[in-house]
Amino acid sequence: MAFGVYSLLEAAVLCLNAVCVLNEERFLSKLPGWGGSHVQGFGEEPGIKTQIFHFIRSVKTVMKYPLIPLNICIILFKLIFG
Amino acid sequence: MYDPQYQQQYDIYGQPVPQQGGPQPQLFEDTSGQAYNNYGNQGYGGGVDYGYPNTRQGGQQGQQAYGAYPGNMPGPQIFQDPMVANMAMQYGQSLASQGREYMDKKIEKYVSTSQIKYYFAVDTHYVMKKLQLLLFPYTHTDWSVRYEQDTPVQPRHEVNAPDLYIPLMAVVTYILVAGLCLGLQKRFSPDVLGMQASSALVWLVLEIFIILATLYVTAIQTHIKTLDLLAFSSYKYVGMIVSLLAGLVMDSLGYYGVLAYCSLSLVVFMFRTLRWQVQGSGGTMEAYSVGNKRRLYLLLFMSGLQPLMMWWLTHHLVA
Repeated sequence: MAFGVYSLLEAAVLCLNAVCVLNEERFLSKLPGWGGSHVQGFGEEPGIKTQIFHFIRSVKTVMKYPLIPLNICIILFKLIFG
Repeated sequence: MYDPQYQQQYDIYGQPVPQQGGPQPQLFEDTSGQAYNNYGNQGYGGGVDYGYPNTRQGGQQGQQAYGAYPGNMPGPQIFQDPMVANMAMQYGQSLASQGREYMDKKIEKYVSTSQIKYYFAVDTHYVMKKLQLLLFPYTHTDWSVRYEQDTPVQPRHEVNAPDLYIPLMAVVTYILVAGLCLGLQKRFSPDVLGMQASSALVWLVLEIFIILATLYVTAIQTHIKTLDLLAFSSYKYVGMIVSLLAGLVMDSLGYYGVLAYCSLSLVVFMFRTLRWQVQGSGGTMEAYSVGNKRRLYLLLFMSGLQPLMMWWLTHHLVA
Protein backbone atom coordinates (compact mmCIF):
# COMPACT_ATOMS: atom_id res chain seq x y z
CA MET A 1 0.00 0.00 0.00
CA ALA A 2 1.55 3.27 -1.06
CA PHE A 3 2.17 5.68 1.75
CA GLY A 4 2.70 8.96 0.08
CA VAL A 5 4.64 11.09 -2.33
CA TYR A 6 7.96 10.52 -0.62
CA SER A 7 7.61 6.77 -1.03
CA LEU A 8 6.97 7.31 -4.71
CA LEU A 9 10.14 9.36 -4.98
CA GLU A 10 12.15 6.75 -3.14
CA ALA A 11 10.77 3.96 -5.31
CA ALA A 12 11.58 5.93 -8.46
CA VAL A 13 15.15 6.54 -7.34
CA LEU A 14 15.60 2.88 -6.44
CA CYS A 15 14.31 1.77 -9.84
CA LEU A 16 16.59 4.22 -11.64
CA ASN A 17 19.50 2.95 -9.56
CA ALA A 18 18.66 -0.57 -10.64
CA VAL A 19 18.72 0.43 -14.30
CA CYS A 20 21.96 2.40 -14.02
CA VAL A 21 23.79 -0.29 -12.12
CA LEU A 22 23.61 -2.75 -15.04
CA ASN A 23 27.21 -3.11 -16.12
CA GLU A 24 27.89 -2.39 -19.78
CA GLU A 25 30.76 -4.77 -20.47
CA ARG A 26 29.97 -7.63 -18.17
CA PHE A 27 26.31 -7.99 -18.81
CA LEU A 28 24.72 -5.78 -21.40
CA SER A 29 27.10 -6.52 -24.25
CA LYS A 30 26.41 -10.23 -23.81
CA LEU A 31 22.72 -9.75 -24.47
CA PRO A 32 21.69 -10.62 -28.02
CA GLY A 33 20.65 -7.55 -29.92
CA TRP A 34 22.34 -5.01 -27.71
CA GLY A 35 24.28 -2.99 -30.30
CA GLY A 36 21.15 -2.64 -32.36
CA SER A 37 20.97 0.94 -33.56
CA HIS A 38 22.14 0.10 -37.10
CA VAL A 39 19.79 -2.80 -37.58
CA GLN A 40 16.59 -0.80 -37.47
CA GLY A 41 14.80 -0.30 -40.74
CA PHE A 42 13.36 3.06 -41.61
CA GLY A 43 9.61 3.41 -41.15
CA GLU A 44 9.16 0.00 -39.63
CA GLU A 45 8.01 -0.42 -36.14
CA PRO A 46 10.93 -1.18 -33.80
CA GLY A 47 10.59 -4.34 -31.81
CA ILE A 48 9.99 -4.42 -28.10
CA LYS A 49 13.54 -5.56 -27.43
CA THR A 50 15.12 -2.64 -29.27
CA GLN A 51 12.82 -0.23 -27.48
CA ILE A 52 13.79 -1.60 -24.11
CA PHE A 53 17.47 -1.44 -24.99
CA HIS A 54 17.07 2.14 -26.15
CA PHE A 55 15.35 2.92 -22.92
CA ILE A 56 18.08 1.37 -20.78
CA ARG A 57 20.80 3.12 -22.72
CA SER A 58 19.14 6.53 -22.48
CA VAL A 59 18.41 6.17 -18.77
CA LYS A 60 22.03 5.27 -18.14
CA THR A 61 23.29 8.20 -20.16
CA VAL A 62 20.97 10.77 -18.68
CA MET A 63 20.67 9.73 -15.06
CA LYS A 64 24.19 8.54 -14.29
CA TYR A 65 25.35 11.86 -12.87
CA PRO A 66 22.17 13.31 -11.34
CA LEU A 67 21.50 10.10 -9.44
CA ILE A 68 24.58 10.53 -7.27
CA PRO A 69 23.40 13.67 -5.44
CA LEU A 70 19.85 12.28 -5.32
CA ASN A 71 21.07 9.17 -3.56
CA ILE A 72 23.18 11.22 -1.18
CA CYS A 73 20.14 13.32 -0.29
CA ILE A 74 17.98 10.29 0.42
CA ILE A 75 20.70 8.65 2.50
CA LEU A 76 21.15 11.79 4.58
CA PHE A 77 17.39 12.07 4.97
CA LYS A 78 17.16 8.51 6.24
CA LEU A 79 20.10 9.00 8.57
CA ILE A 80 18.66 12.11 10.13
CA PHE A 81 14.95 11.34 10.18
CA GLY A 82 14.91 7.60 10.20
CA MET B 1 1.57 63.90 14.49
CA TYR B 2 4.63 65.58 13.12
CA ASP B 3 7.40 64.16 15.25
CA PRO B 4 10.43 66.41 15.66
CA GLN B 5 12.56 63.30 15.94
CA TYR B 6 12.02 62.69 12.23
CA GLN B 7 13.11 66.15 11.26
CA GLN B 8 16.53 64.93 10.16
CA GLN B 9 15.92 63.33 6.78
CA TYR B 10 18.32 61.17 4.80
CA ASP B 11 18.81 60.73 1.12
CA ILE B 12 19.09 57.29 -0.46
CA TYR B 13 22.72 56.87 0.53
CA GLY B 14 22.01 57.43 4.16
CA GLN B 15 23.63 60.85 4.17
CA PRO B 16 21.75 63.53 6.07
CA VAL B 17 20.08 66.06 3.82
CA PRO B 18 20.02 69.68 4.95
CA GLN B 19 16.51 70.51 5.97
CA GLN B 20 14.63 73.39 4.45
CA GLY B 21 11.72 74.85 6.21
CA GLY B 22 9.79 75.61 3.04
CA PRO B 23 8.91 72.20 1.59
CA GLN B 24 8.27 70.55 4.96
CA PRO B 25 4.58 71.32 5.46
CA GLN B 26 3.89 70.51 1.81
CA LEU B 27 5.75 67.21 2.26
CA PHE B 28 3.67 66.38 5.29
CA GLU B 29 0.38 66.99 3.46
CA ASP B 30 1.22 65.29 0.16
CA THR B 31 3.06 62.32 1.58
CA SER B 32 0.67 59.52 0.70
CA GLY B 33 0.12 60.57 -2.90
CA GLN B 34 3.80 61.09 -3.51
CA ALA B 35 4.75 57.89 -1.80
CA TYR B 36 2.33 56.02 -4.07
CA ASN B 37 3.46 58.02 -7.05
CA ASN B 38 7.09 57.42 -6.36
CA TYR B 39 6.49 53.77 -5.65
CA GLY B 40 4.66 53.57 -8.93
CA ASN B 41 7.59 55.23 -10.68
CA GLN B 42 10.01 52.79 -9.18
CA GLY B 43 7.86 49.88 -10.22
CA TYR B 44 6.94 50.85 -13.76
CA GLY B 45 9.59 53.35 -14.74
CA GLY B 46 7.12 56.19 -14.51
CA GLY B 47 4.95 54.72 -17.22
CA VAL B 48 1.70 55.74 -15.60
CA ASP B 49 1.40 59.41 -14.94
CA TYR B 50 -1.07 60.07 -12.21
CA GLY B 51 -1.00 63.73 -12.96
CA TYR B 52 -0.34 64.42 -9.33
CA PRO B 53 1.05 67.84 -8.47
CA ASN B 54 4.68 68.39 -7.42
CA THR B 55 5.80 65.16 -9.03
CA ARG B 56 9.39 66.00 -9.83
CA GLN B 57 10.20 68.02 -6.81
CA GLY B 58 8.30 65.76 -4.51
CA GLY B 59 9.87 62.66 -6.03
CA GLN B 60 13.04 62.67 -4.05
CA GLN B 61 11.45 63.97 -0.96
CA GLY B 62 8.72 61.43 -1.39
CA GLN B 63 11.48 58.88 -1.37
CA GLN B 64 12.78 60.32 1.83
CA ALA B 65 9.29 60.44 3.18
CA TYR B 66 8.90 56.82 2.24
CA GLY B 67 12.12 56.17 4.09
CA ALA B 68 10.75 58.04 7.08
CA TYR B 69 7.40 56.33 6.70
CA PRO B 70 6.24 55.67 10.24
CA GLY B 71 6.36 59.27 11.24
CA ASN B 72 4.74 60.95 8.26
CA MET B 73 1.87 58.65 7.16
CA PRO B 74 -1.29 60.66 7.65
CA GLY B 75 -3.60 57.77 8.46
CA PRO B 76 -6.63 56.04 6.97
CA GLN B 77 -8.72 59.16 6.41
CA ILE B 78 -6.61 59.89 3.31
CA PHE B 79 -8.68 57.36 1.37
CA GLN B 80 -11.80 59.44 1.69
CA ASP B 81 -10.26 61.82 -0.75
CA PRO B 82 -11.78 60.54 -4.03
CA MET B 83 -8.73 61.36 -6.13
CA VAL B 84 -6.47 59.38 -3.86
CA ALA B 85 -8.97 56.53 -3.76
CA ASN B 86 -9.04 56.46 -7.57
CA MET B 87 -5.27 56.43 -7.76
CA ALA B 88 -5.05 53.64 -5.24
CA MET B 89 -7.61 51.55 -7.10
CA GLN B 90 -5.92 52.04 -10.48
CA TYR B 91 -2.59 51.22 -8.99
CA GLY B 92 -3.98 48.11 -7.35
CA GLN B 93 -5.63 46.93 -10.55
CA SER B 94 -2.55 47.44 -12.68
CA LEU B 95 -0.46 45.65 -10.09
CA ALA B 96 -2.90 42.74 -10.01
CA SER B 97 -3.02 42.32 -13.79
CA GLN B 98 0.75 42.53 -14.04
CA GLY B 99 1.09 39.94 -11.33
CA ARG B 100 -1.36 37.66 -13.08
CA GLU B 101 0.48 37.92 -16.41
CA TYR B 102 3.77 37.20 -14.70
CA MET B 103 2.35 34.13 -12.96
CA ASP B 104 0.78 32.86 -16.18
CA LYS B 105 4.06 33.17 -17.98
CA LYS B 106 5.89 31.30 -15.27
CA ILE B 107 3.34 28.52 -14.98
CA GLU B 108 3.07 28.07 -18.76
CA LYS B 109 6.57 26.63 -18.77
CA TYR B 110 5.67 23.71 -16.52
CA VAL B 111 1.97 23.08 -17.02
CA SER B 112 0.44 24.36 -20.25
CA THR B 113 -2.53 26.31 -18.95
CA SER B 114 -4.10 26.78 -22.36
CA GLN B 115 -4.30 23.04 -22.83
CA ILE B 116 -5.78 22.50 -19.41
CA LYS B 117 -8.49 25.04 -20.11
CA TYR B 118 -9.72 22.78 -22.87
CA TYR B 119 -10.39 20.00 -20.42
CA PHE B 120 -12.49 22.16 -18.16
CA ALA B 121 -14.76 23.51 -20.87
CA VAL B 122 -17.76 21.48 -19.77
CA ASP B 123 -21.35 22.18 -19.00
CA THR B 124 -24.08 20.47 -17.01
CA HIS B 125 -25.50 18.54 -19.94
CA TYR B 126 -22.11 17.05 -20.72
CA VAL B 127 -21.48 16.08 -17.11
CA MET B 128 -24.86 14.38 -16.78
CA LYS B 129 -24.42 12.49 -20.06
CA LYS B 130 -20.91 11.42 -19.15
CA LEU B 131 -21.87 10.17 -15.71
CA GLN B 132 -24.72 8.24 -17.23
CA LEU B 133 -22.32 6.78 -19.80
CA LEU B 134 -19.87 5.77 -17.11
CA LEU B 135 -22.50 3.83 -15.26
CA PHE B 136 -24.50 2.51 -18.21
CA PRO B 137 -22.54 2.47 -21.45
CA TYR B 138 -24.44 -0.33 -23.11
CA THR B 139 -26.94 1.63 -25.16
CA HIS B 140 -24.63 4.30 -26.53
CA THR B 141 -23.80 3.60 -30.15
CA ASP B 142 -21.60 6.32 -31.51
CA TRP B 143 -18.29 6.63 -29.69
CA SER B 144 -16.35 8.69 -32.21
CA VAL B 145 -14.91 12.07 -31.33
CA ARG B 146 -15.39 14.93 -33.74
CA TYR B 147 -12.22 16.78 -34.56
CA GLU B 148 -11.76 20.38 -35.47
CA GLN B 149 -8.43 21.09 -37.15
CA ASP B 150 -6.49 18.34 -35.51
CA THR B 151 -7.68 18.98 -31.97
CA PRO B 152 -10.75 17.40 -30.50
CA VAL B 153 -13.87 19.49 -30.17
CA GLN B 154 -14.43 20.88 -26.70
CA PRO B 155 -16.14 18.54 -24.27
CA ARG B 156 -19.02 20.95 -24.10
CA HIS B 157 -20.02 20.00 -27.62
CA GLU B 158 -18.88 16.40 -27.80
CA VAL B 159 -19.91 13.80 -25.28
CA ASN B 160 -17.16 11.35 -26.14
CA ALA B 161 -14.28 13.71 -25.53
CA PRO B 162 -12.36 13.33 -22.26
CA ASP B 163 -12.45 16.04 -19.67
CA LEU B 164 -10.73 16.73 -16.39
CA TYR B 165 -13.63 18.20 -14.48
CA ILE B 166 -15.36 14.95 -13.60
CA PRO B 167 -12.08 13.28 -12.57
CA LEU B 168 -11.13 16.20 -10.35
CA MET B 169 -14.50 16.25 -8.62
CA ALA B 170 -14.50 12.48 -8.39
CA VAL B 171 -11.11 12.33 -6.70
CA VAL B 172 -12.08 14.94 -4.12
CA THR B 173 -15.41 13.24 -3.48
CA TYR B 174 -13.65 9.91 -3.13
CA ILE B 175 -11.40 11.30 -0.42
CA LEU B 176 -14.40 12.71 1.42
CA VAL B 177 -16.38 9.48 1.12
CA ALA B 178 -13.32 7.56 2.34
CA GLY B 179 -13.25 9.81 5.36
CA LEU B 180 -16.96 9.16 5.87
CA CYS B 181 -16.49 5.39 5.70
CA LEU B 182 -13.62 5.46 8.13
CA GLY B 183 -15.55 7.71 10.46
CA LEU B 184 -18.51 5.36 10.53
CA GLN B 185 -16.17 2.56 11.53
CA LYS B 186 -14.58 4.74 14.19
CA ARG B 187 -11.22 4.58 12.43
CA PHE B 188 -11.07 8.23 11.52
CA SER B 189 -8.48 10.86 12.30
CA PRO B 190 -7.52 13.88 10.18
CA ASP B 191 -4.13 12.58 9.12
CA VAL B 192 -5.76 9.42 7.78
CA LEU B 193 -7.55 11.67 5.32
CA GLY B 194 -4.27 13.13 4.15
CA MET B 195 -2.79 9.67 3.82
CA GLN B 196 -5.74 8.49 1.73
CA ALA B 197 -5.36 11.52 -0.51
CA SER B 198 -1.67 11.06 -1.11
CA SER B 199 -2.10 7.33 -1.52
CA ALA B 200 -4.75 7.79 -4.21
CA LEU B 201 -2.53 10.31 -5.93
CA VAL B 202 0.46 8.00 -5.88
CA TRP B 203 -1.49 5.09 -7.36
CA LEU B 204 -2.79 7.38 -10.08
CA VAL B 205 0.71 8.52 -10.97
CA LEU B 206 1.95 4.93 -10.96
CA GLU B 207 -0.82 3.77 -13.23
CA ILE B 208 -0.27 6.57 -15.72
CA PHE B 209 3.43 5.91 -15.69
CA ILE B 210 2.93 2.21 -16.36
CA ILE B 211 0.62 2.98 -19.26
CA LEU B 212 3.03 5.54 -20.69
CA ALA B 213 5.90 3.07 -20.39
CA THR B 214 3.83 0.42 -22.15
CA LEU B 215 2.95 2.87 -24.90
CA TYR B 216 6.62 3.69 -25.39
CA VAL B 217 7.92 0.15 -25.31
CA THR B 218 5.38 -1.20 -27.74
CA ALA B 219 5.85 1.86 -29.95
CA ILE B 220 2.18 2.27 -30.72
CA GLN B 221 1.39 5.37 -32.70
CA THR B 222 -1.47 7.13 -31.05
CA HIS B 223 -2.40 10.68 -30.44
CA ILE B 224 -3.45 10.22 -26.88
CA LYS B 225 -2.04 12.99 -24.76
CA THR B 226 -0.88 12.51 -21.19
CA LEU B 227 -3.74 14.61 -19.89
CA ASP B 228 -6.17 12.35 -21.75
CA LEU B 229 -4.63 9.39 -19.97
CA LEU B 230 -4.99 11.20 -16.67
CA ALA B 231 -8.67 11.76 -17.43
CA PHE B 232 -9.29 8.15 -18.42
CA SER B 233 -7.48 6.76 -15.42
CA SER B 234 -9.50 8.91 -13.06
CA TYR B 235 -12.89 7.93 -14.38
CA LYS B 236 -12.82 4.90 -12.15
CA TYR B 237 -13.20 7.09 -9.09
CA VAL B 238 -16.84 7.63 -10.02
CA GLY B 239 -17.49 3.89 -9.85
CA MET B 240 -15.52 3.67 -6.63
CA ILE B 241 -17.63 6.33 -5.00
CA VAL B 242 -20.86 4.59 -5.98
CA SER B 243 -19.65 1.23 -4.68
CA LEU B 244 -18.42 2.76 -1.44
CA LEU B 245 -21.78 4.41 -0.87
CA ALA B 246 -23.53 1.13 -1.61
CA GLY B 247 -21.17 -0.55 0.81
CA LEU B 248 -22.28 1.88 3.46
CA VAL B 249 -25.91 1.05 2.94
CA MET B 250 -25.59 -2.72 2.70
CA ASP B 251 -22.29 -4.07 3.94
CA SER B 252 -20.10 -6.44 2.00
CA LEU B 253 -22.84 -7.69 -0.28
CA GLY B 254 -23.83 -4.26 -1.49
CA TYR B 255 -20.23 -3.21 -1.91
CA TYR B 256 -19.10 -6.20 -3.94
CA GLY B 257 -22.25 -6.29 -6.01
CA VAL B 258 -22.11 -2.65 -7.00
CA LEU B 259 -18.35 -2.89 -7.47
CA ALA B 260 -18.79 -5.76 -9.93
CA TYR B 261 -21.41 -3.85 -11.88
CA CYS B 262 -19.39 -0.62 -11.96
CA SER B 263 -16.27 -2.50 -12.99
CA LEU B 264 -18.11 -4.09 -15.90
CA SER B 265 -19.55 -0.77 -16.99
CA LEU B 266 -16.21 0.96 -16.72
CA VAL B 267 -14.45 -1.78 -18.68
CA VAL B 268 -16.97 -1.51 -21.51
CA PHE B 269 -16.76 2.28 -21.41
CA MET B 270 -12.97 2.36 -21.48
CA PHE B 271 -12.71 -0.23 -24.19
CA ARG B 272 -15.15 1.50 -26.50
CA THR B 273 -13.79 4.97 -25.86
CA LEU B 274 -10.16 4.02 -26.19
CA ARG B 275 -10.74 2.01 -29.32
CA TRP B 276 -11.45 5.29 -31.03
CA GLN B 277 -8.63 7.19 -29.39
CA VAL B 278 -5.88 4.61 -29.72
CA GLN B 279 -6.70 3.50 -33.22
CA GLY B 280 -6.20 6.92 -34.69
CA SER B 281 -8.75 8.05 -37.17
CA GLY B 282 -11.23 5.25 -37.02
CA GLY B 283 -12.36 2.03 -35.45
CA THR B 284 -11.71 0.05 -38.61
CA MET B 285 -8.87 -2.44 -38.65
CA GLU B 286 -5.91 -1.23 -40.63
CA ALA B 287 -3.72 -3.37 -42.79
CA TYR B 288 -0.84 -3.30 -40.34
CA SER B 289 -1.70 -6.34 -38.29
CA VAL B 290 1.13 -6.29 -35.76
CA GLY B 291 0.25 -2.81 -34.61
CA ASN B 292 -3.37 -3.80 -34.24
CA LYS B 293 -2.62 -6.80 -32.11
CA ARG B 294 -0.49 -4.62 -29.84
CA ARG B 295 -3.19 -2.00 -29.70
CA LEU B 296 -5.74 -4.60 -28.76
CA TYR B 297 -3.55 -5.92 -26.00
CA LEU B 298 -2.93 -2.43 -24.75
CA LEU B 299 -6.65 -1.73 -24.68
CA LEU B 300 -7.36 -4.95 -22.83
CA PHE B 301 -4.57 -4.22 -20.40
CA MET B 302 -5.80 -0.73 -19.68
CA SER B 303 -9.40 -1.77 -19.33
CA GLY B 304 -8.56 -4.77 -17.18
CA LEU B 305 -6.41 -2.67 -14.89
CA GLN B 306 -9.37 -0.54 -13.90
CA PRO B 307 -11.41 -3.08 -11.87
CA LEU B 308 -8.25 -4.22 -10.12
CA MET B 309 -7.41 -0.69 -9.09
CA MET B 310 -10.97 -0.05 -8.07
CA TRP B 311 -10.97 -3.01 -5.77
CA TRP B 312 -7.49 -2.29 -4.42
CA LEU B 313 -8.24 1.29 -3.50
CA THR B 314 -11.54 0.66 -1.75
CA HIS B 315 -11.55 -2.75 -0.11
CA HIS B 316 -9.83 -1.55 3.02
CA LEU B 317 -12.55 1.03 3.54
CA VAL B 318 -15.43 -1.42 3.77
CA ALA B 319 -15.76 -3.53 6.89
